[in-house]
Amino acid sequence: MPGRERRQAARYVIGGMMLDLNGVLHETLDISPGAVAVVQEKGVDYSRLNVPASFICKSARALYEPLTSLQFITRRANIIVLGYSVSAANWEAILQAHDVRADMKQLEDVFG
Amino acid sequence: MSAAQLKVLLSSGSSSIVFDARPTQLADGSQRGPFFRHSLLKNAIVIKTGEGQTGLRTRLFLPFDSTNTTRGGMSMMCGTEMSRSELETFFNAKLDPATIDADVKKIEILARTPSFAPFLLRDAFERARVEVDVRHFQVSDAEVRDLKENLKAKLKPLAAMALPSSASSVEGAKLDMLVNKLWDLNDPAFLAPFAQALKIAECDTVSTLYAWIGVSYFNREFTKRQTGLRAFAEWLVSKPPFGPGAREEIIMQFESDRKPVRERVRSSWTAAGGIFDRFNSSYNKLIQDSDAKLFIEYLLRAQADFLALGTHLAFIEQSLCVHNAIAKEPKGSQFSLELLRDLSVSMRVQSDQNQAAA
Repeated sequence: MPGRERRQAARYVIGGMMLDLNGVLHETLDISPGAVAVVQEKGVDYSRLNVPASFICKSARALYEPLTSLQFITRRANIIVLGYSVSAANWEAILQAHDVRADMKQLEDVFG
Repeated sequence: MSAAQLKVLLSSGSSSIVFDARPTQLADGSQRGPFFRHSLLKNAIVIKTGEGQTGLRTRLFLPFDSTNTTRGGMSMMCGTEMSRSELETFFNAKLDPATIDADVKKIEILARTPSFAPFLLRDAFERARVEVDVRHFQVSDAEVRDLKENLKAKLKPLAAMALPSSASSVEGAKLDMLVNKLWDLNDPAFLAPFAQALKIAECDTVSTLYAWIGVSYFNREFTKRQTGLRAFAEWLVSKPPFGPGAREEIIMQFESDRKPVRERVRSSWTAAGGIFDRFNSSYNKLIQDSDAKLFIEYLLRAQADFLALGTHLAFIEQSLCVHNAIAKEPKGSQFSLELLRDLSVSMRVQSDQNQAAA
């Protein structure tokens, strides 16, 4: 996913969601359907990334998802942005349902 | 507040405006002791209400009959800074500092917290490191854990701002650690540079970030009341509940009492919606564009919004309690008219002030 697409895609923030890269767990900052921002870990060469890799989340089984592709997009300070794909067809709906803002509801105008 | 309204609030069991500090036997058969240590406060009930003239008020109520709280009692207003001597004046007695000082601290926390919503209150006592029997808060450990996890996760984009700029200077699980620091708000060395980046005055850092968490939590408290409020809003504009032959002046009085209540509650609901919209826009911008400008602007008003939401919630909750009580009465009963009148009087003052200020 090119950087421009990432900027346009909706980003989600999910508590406890990690990316497992060859056994090195990365904390995710935010995630869109095609890119994920993770906190950089020592000793990982982000220019040579390969699957198998997978998303894991202790609190939500639905977020366990193996990646089908993975590539480096960009880096800013301590954050690495990676492009990825998964096979789950409803992946964005799953991300949206687990987003930290999912419980924030807009109040309706009950007074009409 | 009139005796009728007080009676309704006390019997409503509303956990967001009535905090029952009395000892009681719980559903599982266990005994819950009194919340306060001093025997004079053993049967206290603390009430948080929105009042037209003054906004949010916290009142300590001591019933004459602890088994029937609606038979009257004595009450005192509580502030965020209380002293032993205020309680001594109220009770007209010398109080033992060893016992009463801990209770004074508890009263201050109750007064300071903008709502008695059980999670919020339990969290406030935890943060203040004041030990209390948590069975006084009507929220389970599992609910507390889930709510805490959810609110903490919301801090992730903020915590990311405090990540060191190079990978070599960090050691594992850093984002999670920073989130915990932002939740705990008890590490001045961590908070100082963070506050500087967010342009928060150092003395306001803890209260500002706590207020931001509080605003986020309040959204669910308002959402929970949406259905009840819709029914109330419909009742406020429905045909007056009087049969044929009802005196014209009673109907007119009823209508003139409903109007300020509708204005006040509508205004509170709209204002709360506006606060959540601002909160969400600034937070969304931070997540979507990694742009903190709007978020930093929002933080400046987080404390005021947190308190305002407490006041709005109290107005709404009081009205819902009164509406529930009226709904159980025969249509147009004298008691229901009195309740509406009391509610209207307490809210009208604010309405008039708003009009004067406009």
